[in-house]
Amino acid sequence: MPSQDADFIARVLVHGDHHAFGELVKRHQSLVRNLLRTWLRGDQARADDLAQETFLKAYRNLRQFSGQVQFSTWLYKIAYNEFRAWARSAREHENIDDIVHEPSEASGQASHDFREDLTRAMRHLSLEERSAVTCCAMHGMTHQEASEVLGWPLGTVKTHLLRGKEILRNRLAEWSTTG
Amino acid sequence: MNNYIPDDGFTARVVDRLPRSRAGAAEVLRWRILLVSAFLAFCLVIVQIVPLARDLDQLASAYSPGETFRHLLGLIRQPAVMLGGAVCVIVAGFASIPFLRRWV
Repeated sequence: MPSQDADFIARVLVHGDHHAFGELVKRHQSLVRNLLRTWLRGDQARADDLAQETFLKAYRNLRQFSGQVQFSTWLYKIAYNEFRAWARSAREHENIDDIVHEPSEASGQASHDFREDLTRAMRHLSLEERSAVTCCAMHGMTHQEASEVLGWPLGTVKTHLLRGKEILRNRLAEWSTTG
Repeated sequence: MNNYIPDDGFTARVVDRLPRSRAGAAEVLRWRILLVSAFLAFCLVIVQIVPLARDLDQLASAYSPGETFRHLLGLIRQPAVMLGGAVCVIVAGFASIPFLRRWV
């Protein structure tokens, strides 16, 4: 609940209360880690590292949180910036699109598992398309929220989302006919 | 697709890495001041007590209990002891104000 977030944030700002910040982490860790895992194509260890950095950065910059957007949206934005910074440095050393991680969970399940199919199809999206699809289609953000998180104009979000969905539709249709 | 990920110690790891707040750092500083002033006070007492204890037998045999007490009082009234003691009391007092506020 956003009002509870506001209480915890106030306690952190006024008293430097680590316990209150811990409560905020507890409330949002799942979504932040989920988001990063999807962007990182299932690389759980790196996603958790980036999630930790996200929360630490949020703690250091909590005074800059204006409350105009939801706390979760603000967190996702930091997470996306962390991811982009990592992706930029990874690109300098290797082609990020060549880094393929098997989904560690659910990999033993049947091949017709829709979730696994979707994860595989996501690998064919560009970084931008994947980011837009993750935010809007998987995490239920509005276009406006995704625009805030990703720092793109609304039109750019819609374009990448449409393109991403189109690729996913083709990929999944292809698999359903062959499978 | 939006699976819930259990905490599995993630929150604890983040909280462990949080920088210590300004209030926390001030509390540590107050504890240090308290400990140092207590140590100084202890040293002052030892410095005065050791020679006193050495002369205690002599004092007890030479003077009456009242005179011994006055002699002890005279030792405590020495300027160095008074000054050191006062400094320790003032420093420890200031450092302990936040604790007293919390406990009283």
